[in-house]
Amino acid sequence: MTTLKDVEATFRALAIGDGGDALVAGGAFGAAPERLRLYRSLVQNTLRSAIRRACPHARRLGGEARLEAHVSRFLDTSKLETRFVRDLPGAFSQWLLADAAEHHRDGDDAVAYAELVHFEALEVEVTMAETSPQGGLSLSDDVTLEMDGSTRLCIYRHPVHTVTLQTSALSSLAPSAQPYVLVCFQRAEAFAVEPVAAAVGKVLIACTDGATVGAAIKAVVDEGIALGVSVDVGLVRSALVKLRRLGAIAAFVEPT
Amino acid sequence: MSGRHDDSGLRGTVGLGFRAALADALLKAEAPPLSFIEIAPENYLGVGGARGRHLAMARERWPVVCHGLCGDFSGAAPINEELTAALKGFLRAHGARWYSDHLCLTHVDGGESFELLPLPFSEEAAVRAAARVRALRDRLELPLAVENVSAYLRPSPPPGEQAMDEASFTRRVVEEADCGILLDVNNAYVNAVNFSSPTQVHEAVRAFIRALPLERVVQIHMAGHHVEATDDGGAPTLVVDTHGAPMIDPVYDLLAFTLDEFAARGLTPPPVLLERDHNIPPLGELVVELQRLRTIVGGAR
Repeated sequence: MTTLKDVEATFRALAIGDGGDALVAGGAFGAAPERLRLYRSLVQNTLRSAIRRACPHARRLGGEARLEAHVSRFLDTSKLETRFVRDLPGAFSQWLLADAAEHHRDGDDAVAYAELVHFEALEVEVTMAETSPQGGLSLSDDVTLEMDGSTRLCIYRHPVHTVTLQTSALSSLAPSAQPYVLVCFQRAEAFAVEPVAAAVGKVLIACTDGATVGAAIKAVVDEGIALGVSVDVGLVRSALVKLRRLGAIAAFVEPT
Repeated sequence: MSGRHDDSGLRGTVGLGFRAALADALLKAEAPPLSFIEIAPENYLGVGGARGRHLAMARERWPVVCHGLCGDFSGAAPINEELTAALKGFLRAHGARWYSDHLCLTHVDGGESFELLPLPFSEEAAVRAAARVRALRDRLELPLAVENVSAYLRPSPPPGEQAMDEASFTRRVVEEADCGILLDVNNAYVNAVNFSSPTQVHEAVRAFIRALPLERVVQIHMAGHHVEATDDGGAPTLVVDTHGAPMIDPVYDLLAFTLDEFAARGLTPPPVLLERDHNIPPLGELVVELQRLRTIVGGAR
């Protein structure tokens, strides 16, 4: 063994990558096999258990072996940049979504599975997020939205938010022609999910980018006209008021 | 910024590692025998919800000591400036008087391992660790301390370079960086078992502790471990620092020895912390351990 750089590369291959067995057999660091395997076991247990704990439904519906196989590929191909163990499920789920989008074939359940893992990882992220002070309650066209610090907007093709212990198979999560738009947020320290119409989702995205509510709604209505789709403005406003009342929107902010 | 530490009146006291699984019981307990808590900022930075609320409640009852998990002293990765700035704000908000992390590698070859990986006891590692400690101290504007970690193998230094022993390596780093030491007595025991013959374990720990510049020790860690392998006579030959079992008598004895060394050098005992991260028992069992620690620390004052 020579420099620190060599030490790092050897530990990376030994503990995280798929070259661990060869390094154990080759007696890396001049160490006994059980000591080399111990480091691999410690690292792998930390990484895998953080992900496993976050995905109980995916493990139950997809099986332990399927999750383990995905995690192995994730660890082999990704460099973990986060310093927070709590971010591992989220990093894994993002990787899995991209992997499923690239490799799935029509008729398989790869996307449903990846979306379920993503939704479960999101619960960890949302329930540990810092929430925001709650502010203005009056909705008007001139206000902008301040989303709560825990709020995440998700769009899924499969109804992964409906999975319960009674759900017996991934195949029951049939894809929908219309995507499921979910506002996920923390409420009373618990994970809360509010399905919303696609138009509401678009308004939330525009407002997150700084648009006023009036401008965001007008843009969605104009887009609907162009596509020949009617937008119920009253329904959009009601949804915003409800999200504010639930705390997913922290404040309607009056112009200064 | 000096490397010496204002320990804010915690010397001679006993504390407990604050863990999510313990928080509820600890916060409901009327007068648990502890004078401070220790947290890992990585577990609380930017965290709200129940975990954030528990920490806020704990802060109202006890002083908070902050101990990092990913300092990556001697790592090659550049300092994460965004994370360090957030950490600085967190430490200030929690009234930290010093910040400690482990003398090891955590970030390997561009990725995080989330494990405390051993360094070669080489000049290169010592110089890089000292520079890293100074750089972090400058950014955090707080004194820093480095902890001796447990190890199960020892990477060799480059060919032609004589490896230092652990005490010499630690001394080299802390004197070069002018920083403190967080002395983990259990880790010293674990390393002695893992790298000494069974008959020499206790003397190896004592020699390690005697060789340290104890005037730089700002805090002591105590914990339990797991025996992974034994020899034919039942003596442990490989132990793992799990923080998942009660402390054993030999480690209590080594704490008493350590505190005697402090006294012999005219030093006040530093704060002593009980770490328990896994197989967390009912609080009552930890209270028994805390009281035993208090008795030992009290006897040394």
